[in-house]
Amino acid sequence: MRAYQQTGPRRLEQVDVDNPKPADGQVVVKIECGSVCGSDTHVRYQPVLPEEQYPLPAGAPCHEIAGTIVESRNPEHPVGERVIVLPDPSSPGGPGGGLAEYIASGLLISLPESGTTEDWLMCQPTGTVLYSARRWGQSTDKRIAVIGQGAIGLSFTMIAERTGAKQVIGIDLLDYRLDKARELGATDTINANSENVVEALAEVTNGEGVDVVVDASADPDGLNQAVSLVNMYGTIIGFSQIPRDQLPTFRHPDWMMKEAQIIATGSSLSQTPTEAIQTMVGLRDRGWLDPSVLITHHSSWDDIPDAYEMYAGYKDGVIKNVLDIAGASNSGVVA
Amino acid sequence: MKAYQLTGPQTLEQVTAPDPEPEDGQVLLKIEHVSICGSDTHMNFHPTLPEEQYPFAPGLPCHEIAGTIVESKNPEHAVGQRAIILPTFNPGVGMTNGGLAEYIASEKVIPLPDYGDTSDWVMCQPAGTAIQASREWGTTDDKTFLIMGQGAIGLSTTAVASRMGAMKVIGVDLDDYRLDKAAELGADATLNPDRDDLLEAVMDLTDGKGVDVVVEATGDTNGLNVAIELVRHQGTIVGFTLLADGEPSMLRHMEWMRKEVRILPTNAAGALDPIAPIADMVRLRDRGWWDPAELITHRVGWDQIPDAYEMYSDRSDGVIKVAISIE
Repeated sequence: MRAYQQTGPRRLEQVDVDNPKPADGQVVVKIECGSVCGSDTHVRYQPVLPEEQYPLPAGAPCHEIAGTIVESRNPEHPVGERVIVLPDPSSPGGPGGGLAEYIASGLLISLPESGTTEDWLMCQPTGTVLYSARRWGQSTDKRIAVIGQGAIGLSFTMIAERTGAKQVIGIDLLDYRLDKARELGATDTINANSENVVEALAEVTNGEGVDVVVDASADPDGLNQAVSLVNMYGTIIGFSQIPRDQLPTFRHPDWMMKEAQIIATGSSLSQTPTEAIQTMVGLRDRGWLDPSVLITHHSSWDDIPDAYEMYAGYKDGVIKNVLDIAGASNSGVVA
Repeated sequence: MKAYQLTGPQTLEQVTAPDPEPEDGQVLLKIEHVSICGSDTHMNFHPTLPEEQYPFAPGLPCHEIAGTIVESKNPEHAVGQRAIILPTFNPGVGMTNGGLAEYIASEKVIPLPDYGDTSDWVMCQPAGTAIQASREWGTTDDKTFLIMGQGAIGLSTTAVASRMGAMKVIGVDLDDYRLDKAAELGADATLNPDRDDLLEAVMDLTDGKGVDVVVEATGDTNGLNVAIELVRHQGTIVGFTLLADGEPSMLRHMEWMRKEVRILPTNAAGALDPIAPIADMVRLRDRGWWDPAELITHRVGWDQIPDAYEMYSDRSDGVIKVAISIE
């Protein structure tokens, strides 16, 4: 099958590889679309990784994937069912990824029959946020600040608003993302480039400060910023993934002075990595929250390297870029 | 000032009472609108209470109150500010003043925005208790809910749980008109115990597990036991029902222990901070998150107050919430 493979820093090359074989309990999904996640670009596409890590497995880095089951060794998921699929570390040929025609996996989220696959796919990132947002508990008695208003931060903003948070403050360096944040439910926004965030936060909260800070900045210093912003005894939800070569100095004394709890969250590492995404699919189906509002761009198969460049460079107002995987093979575009 | 007071079972009489004087830290509110709560009727208006409890203090029974501050001995609340006011509450005694009067003095003030009618804003008082309940149950999207009793409290809880993203909300009531309203406000399924086998239906709707959270807002002496039957193992019951002193209630202790059920009473009036959840609800209404004024089915004036209590007590005429104009 046709696939992309990362062969070096910021280099995606088209390759031809064997089709994946499903193990017991797995299915093969014909991939219709994928989407770029910040962790794909920050942790894998962009940095210079140790030489021995290249090339990455065919299909990687891409873990937001949806399509239709074409072969099944799992009685609960028949051929023809439409699913979001997570790369499965237990796959015989390795987890694979979304930049390929097919993927074998046992980690499946069933999708309703209505609606486009790409719109449903947005329940993948927002579902992982739902998982993390549970960790702050009930919302109505809390003021919540979200550092970083990319697709993940915006999902936090939407969920905080929908669950009734007292105040939702979006923080980013880019005005177009702050505009989107206000559109999607942020009660206030702060541009960390042009404003002193600590002072601005005190002002918009009338000196009350915030009970919860979410670090969705993907910035090595994000956790320190979160500590500087959170109230005494507050809660910090960590979502950022930081490459090992960029590990920050943690301001330990500041943290202890605040007595703030820090909760690292990662839905994909949990015992049930599909649960929160499946819950998000149910909530979108009911009209509670529609994460497909995050889609700003579409890219064809041949434009996938450009899509990663755009995402890594925050270009052209990008929030979410849908990669049309099946369209390419259907239209017979030659590598 | 003019006031009503309860002088005997189902007897509200008009009286003239002295104007209240605010103490330090209190404000004096000119009452514009009030509303009737289930606890007003089934604990106070309707039953025959011990003789020595009559007459009630002027203004009672009524604790859902909104109006405008006309005198202030609290620097945080200025004259002219509109507000929901909670009556003064003495542990062991209960409320000592109420809303069926022209004025009330209290230190428990929830400021209101300066737009919209106070008859609509006062609905944030009962709806705020549903916010209080949500604080007890914690996160919402990962839980199924059974809400027993779809009066104003049950319906508010249905609306709040649904808006917070509940996995499933099942509404239960004996009156179909209330179940219709529950479906309108977000219940995914509704059950009428007159028709449906509750246990069978709830197990069907939850893959045989029972629900994660039961909100018990029936006002019934056996409500808690039914809740224990329907909640899942190690589930949570949030109890709203207030029973009058001496009303017999037997807890099925062994069933409760066997299921390891957590029971959390919510009594907004007796809470350490009764103001916060109502202020939360005011802010959420201001933001357009949910408008509890959609619970209002009747609007009446001063002279119709005794009739309104009769109607609420009898659940007649499709009543859910009555907005009463005091002026």
